[in-house]
Amino acid sequence: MSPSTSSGQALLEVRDLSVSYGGIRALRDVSLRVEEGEIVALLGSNGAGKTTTLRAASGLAPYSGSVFFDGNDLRKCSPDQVVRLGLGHAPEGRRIFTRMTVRENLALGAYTVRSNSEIERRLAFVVETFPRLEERLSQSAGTLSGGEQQMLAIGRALMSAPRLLMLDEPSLGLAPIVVQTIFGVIKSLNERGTTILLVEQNAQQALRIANRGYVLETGEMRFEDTGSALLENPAVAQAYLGAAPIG
Amino acid sequence: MHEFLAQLVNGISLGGIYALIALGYTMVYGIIGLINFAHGDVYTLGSFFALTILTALGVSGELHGVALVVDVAIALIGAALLCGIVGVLIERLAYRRLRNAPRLAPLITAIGISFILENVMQIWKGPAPVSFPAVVPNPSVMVAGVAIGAQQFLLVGLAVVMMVALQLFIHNTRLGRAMRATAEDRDAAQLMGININRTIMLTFLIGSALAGVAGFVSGVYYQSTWFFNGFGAGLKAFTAAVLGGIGNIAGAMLGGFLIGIIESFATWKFGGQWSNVTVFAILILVLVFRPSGLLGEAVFERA
Ligand SMILES: Nc1ncnc2c1ncn2[C@@H]1O[C@H](COP(=O)(O)OP(=O)(O)OP(=O)(O)O)[C@@H](O)[C@H]1O
Ligand SMILES: [Mg+2]
Repeated sequence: MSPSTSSGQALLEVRDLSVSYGGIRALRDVSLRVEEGEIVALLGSNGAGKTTTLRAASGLAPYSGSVFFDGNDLRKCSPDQVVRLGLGHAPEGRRIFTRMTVRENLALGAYTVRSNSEIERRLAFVVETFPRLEERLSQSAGTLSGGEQQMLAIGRALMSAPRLLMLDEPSLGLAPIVVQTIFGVIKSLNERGTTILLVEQNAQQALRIANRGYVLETGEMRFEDTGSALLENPAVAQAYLGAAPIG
Repeated sequence: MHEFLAQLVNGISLGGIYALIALGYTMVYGIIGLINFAHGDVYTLGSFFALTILTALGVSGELHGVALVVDVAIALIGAALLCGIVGVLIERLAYRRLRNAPRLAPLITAIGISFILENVMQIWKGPAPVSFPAVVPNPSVMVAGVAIGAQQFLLVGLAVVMMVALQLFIHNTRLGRAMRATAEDRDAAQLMGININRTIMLTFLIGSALAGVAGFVSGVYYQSTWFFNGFGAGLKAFTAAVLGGIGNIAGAMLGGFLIGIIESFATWKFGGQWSNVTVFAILILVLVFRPSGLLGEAVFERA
């Protein structure tokens, strides 16, 4: 399928997405869209269905409804084909290959790329983005600190040079200083042209860098608005932003 | 001392066969967590394929010169290729649908496939052992007073070359890296753009082809084969994989050679009827004191 040129569709278009796990509904008729160039935040408390939404988009969870990426019907794509279309996903819990070196992890991120010089070029960009990774390239990934593992997970997703990068709680469990680094990187990636769909518990901070945001509650979409409007919305603030970690 | 060395040579030869089979068990376990009980029968199938190919080539005895190289290569590669295809078909038809089912389901299916293969082979070549042509001449050299045959050199040499090649493939190629990634985290591997169906298929292809190689060399070495060979050999090769650390490639090789040597010495010292008892007793001891095997369960890992 060739990329559609002008269908009037957003880069990522999720419509009426429903996912069940063994009879239990995790998502019910969820719709969202991400336009090219945006940072979109996807918020909600534990178990709201954020991760499930991303997993469905990547083809890792069976769903009903539809997901279109760049005009392609993702229902017809296997997870590896979704990646090839340019939809990257740094999953919840990092999921780095702990038994491999940092370099091997990054090489796997560019699995779909055959050209060695292109892989080296992307690797140079990733280590420029996360200098901490450079000196650890031949270290076993399992021995990295939590923050370094998160950098590796994001760096690995960047190696596929995605048009849209989905990040599932990239700041989870990190020291405030590292959280700042990660948010800074997300912003600068976006400025360089990567569209971002950001799942975060750290709602305040996510909304501050997001163009728009969505709030999920027990599998259903509750709010959709611009980042600043959601920040000022008292109903959202009371239910979700208050729960954000302080500091 | 002389007898000791002779038994050691025997054990290493036998161990080469176990090691080749054990690699298939360990690779499949490493990548989908399945003990593929049909694998021993794929090994027997390898000797049947090789025998059929040799018969078709009109070979019934010792070969020499160009014919030796060409016919052996055809039979060896043919058996490996056909076994590889059978392995891929088994995965596609029997195991793929059960990939996310509870672990017991594919295990029972594997036992079922094993019975099916054994029955098919029994219908194919009959219930009695069939003779295998001694295609490879067996002149021997004396080393420290022990005669080592050319066939033993061929067998062990082939096994070692295969293992080294496999290690290099898994650790130094893009596809090998994809196999290790799939073994460690299937979902994450897919997010890298890896087609895990193809990776798992490749694992079955390689593992089964190695069993085919083992089938050919054992046919040449014992000059006979039997539809039920794979049951015992498969069980011991599986034991070898567990002994070395299931999922661990280097462990499968080490375990294979150890089991071969132990079996050989047990037969010599206590008689043939005690060889299985000794092998499995040692397995139990190892599992009690080192549950993850000698080299550990590190999946697809260099020792
Ligand atoms: N594999 C699974 N099997 C059964 N239920 C699941 C599975 N994965 C998720 N769920 C359920 O689906 C619901 C949504 O889970 P999901 O992981 O999408 O939430 P989340 O918004 O990402 O939460 P968190 O912020 O805690 O990561 C939860 O009730 C969860 O228990
Ligand atoms: Mg989640």
